[in-house]
Amino acid sequence: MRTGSIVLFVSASVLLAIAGFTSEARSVGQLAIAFGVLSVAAVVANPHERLIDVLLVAYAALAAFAAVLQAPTWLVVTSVALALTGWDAARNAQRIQAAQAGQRAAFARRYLARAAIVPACGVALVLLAGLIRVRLSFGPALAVAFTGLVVAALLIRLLRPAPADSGTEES
Amino acid sequence: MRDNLLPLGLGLLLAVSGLAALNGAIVAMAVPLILFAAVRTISSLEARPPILEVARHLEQVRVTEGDQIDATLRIENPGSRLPLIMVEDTIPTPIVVSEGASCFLGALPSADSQELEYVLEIPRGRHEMPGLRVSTWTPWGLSLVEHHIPVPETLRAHPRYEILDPITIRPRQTRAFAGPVRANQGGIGLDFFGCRAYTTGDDVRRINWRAFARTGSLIVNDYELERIADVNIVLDARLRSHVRASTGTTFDHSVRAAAAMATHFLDQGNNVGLLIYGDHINWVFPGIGSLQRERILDALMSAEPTSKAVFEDLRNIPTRLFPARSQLVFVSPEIDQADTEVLGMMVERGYSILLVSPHVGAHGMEDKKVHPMAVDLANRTMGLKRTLFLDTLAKLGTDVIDWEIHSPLRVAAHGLHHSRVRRYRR
Repeated sequence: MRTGSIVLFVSASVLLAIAGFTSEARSVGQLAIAFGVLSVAAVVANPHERLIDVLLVAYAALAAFAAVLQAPTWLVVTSVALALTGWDAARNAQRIQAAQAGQRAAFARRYLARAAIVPACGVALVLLAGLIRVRLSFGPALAVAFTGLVVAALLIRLLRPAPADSGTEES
Repeated sequence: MRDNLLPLGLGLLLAVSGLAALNGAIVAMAVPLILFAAVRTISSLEARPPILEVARHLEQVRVTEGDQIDATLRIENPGSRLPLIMVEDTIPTPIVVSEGASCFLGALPSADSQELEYVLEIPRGRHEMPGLRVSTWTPWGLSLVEHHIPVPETLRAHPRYEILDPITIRPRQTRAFAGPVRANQGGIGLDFFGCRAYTTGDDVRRINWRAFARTGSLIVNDYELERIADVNIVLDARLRSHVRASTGTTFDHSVRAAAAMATHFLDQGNNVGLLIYGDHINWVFPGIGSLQRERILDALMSAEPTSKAVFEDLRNIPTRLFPARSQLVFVSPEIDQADTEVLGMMVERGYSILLVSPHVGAHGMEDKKVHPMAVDLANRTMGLKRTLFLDTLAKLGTDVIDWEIHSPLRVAAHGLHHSRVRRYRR
């Protein structure tokens, strides 16, 4: 899980650096590389959860700064999504430290495969919005947003397995 | 739910900032964050702890410190499939898992079970094992549910102790029952005690015929009575008396020495009590037999060194707890001037004192930050000081077992340094 987190954070910083350098904002690129190194150090050293939180905020702030400097949108959004998944993986890596290495690796594969879906959907939504440009007035936009929310809730409800009964048994 | 606050807050901040700056790219960045938080929040609303049937089996619950016991944990899932679950046995900090794993992480299909086997190394003390910590992630939303399954178990680890060879004690007062301690009174026994004039009822076999031939009157031999004695063990639990050594603290060794002494004197049939001097008056009333040994070992099991101003020196030792002129076994690694005076006063009052003094030896203290010569000088100074106090105590009438903790206590007890003062004063 920790390796997954490092890979995700490094990928986020690489994308952000590319975004910075392509938009002639060298400072953004340099800061992105610095954040990449810092995030690797932070995840390896296994510090307090707060530092990982600060890293996510820093990535988001830097990505917003890159967006202001006209960096490609898809790059900054993807880097934020990767940093978000890396943050989630880093937090869970701390939770599962007590387990054996083999079990951790298998768990990490299963977890990351699922964890990547939602941020990937977010990125896809953004890219889709860039491709499909539809003019909407306020009323229909509100209706679309509400319908989307209801559909998302129903989808999750359908995907969820049958709820277990409350309480635990002990023998 | 708390885990979602950061992405949600960050996403909303980005969305508001993007709208304020009329920058669509910043608003777009908020989408994955808000979506992530929304999905997690929705899935957490329906998340609930799974049904699990668990059973933990420990090989033993009463052990000796340092023993290793086998533990088996069986987790059964009678409910629906759990794709991401972590079950961890909450093991108290001083206990070490020396083999195997006490944690399961992975998927648990419906009606399936997992069995964990691990070995626990138990240090001295009473350890409560509360139960299992279960973390479950919802299959798609990945919302985390944590809960506790109580499987309470108490592990008791008595101090490890050595079996000692016979130790001679000579208290001035003994009890009425036959035992191994010489009572300084004539009667039936093994060792010659003296001669006296024959009185009616004396056994004819005890007549000293040579004395009769010499004096012309009947004289019988007397042998020294052997009785049981009151033995009270005082364990010095003052923090200032103990130092850290490579093989644990001297307190651990003091506890082991106290346990060895208590067991030894109880096995001889004596009436043995225990006072742990340090935190409060932790007193095990004197008694005999295996039940009393368990009581004493239970008290020693939970003993910890403490720092209380009231017990800083031995002046406040509650001597009223000990029968007059009885035997005291004092276990302390460090005796200073004030303690020496108190022990001397107790000898004067009629108590017989055996001091067991564990120490780390000439090279016991090591400090990498200090020059080796300085450490060596400090060790030698402390050794001289210690020798001086122990010698003073020996002169005052105390028996001393000077035990270097790297060697067995049994060996040190062989060289029991008896007092130079004749203690048998009628």
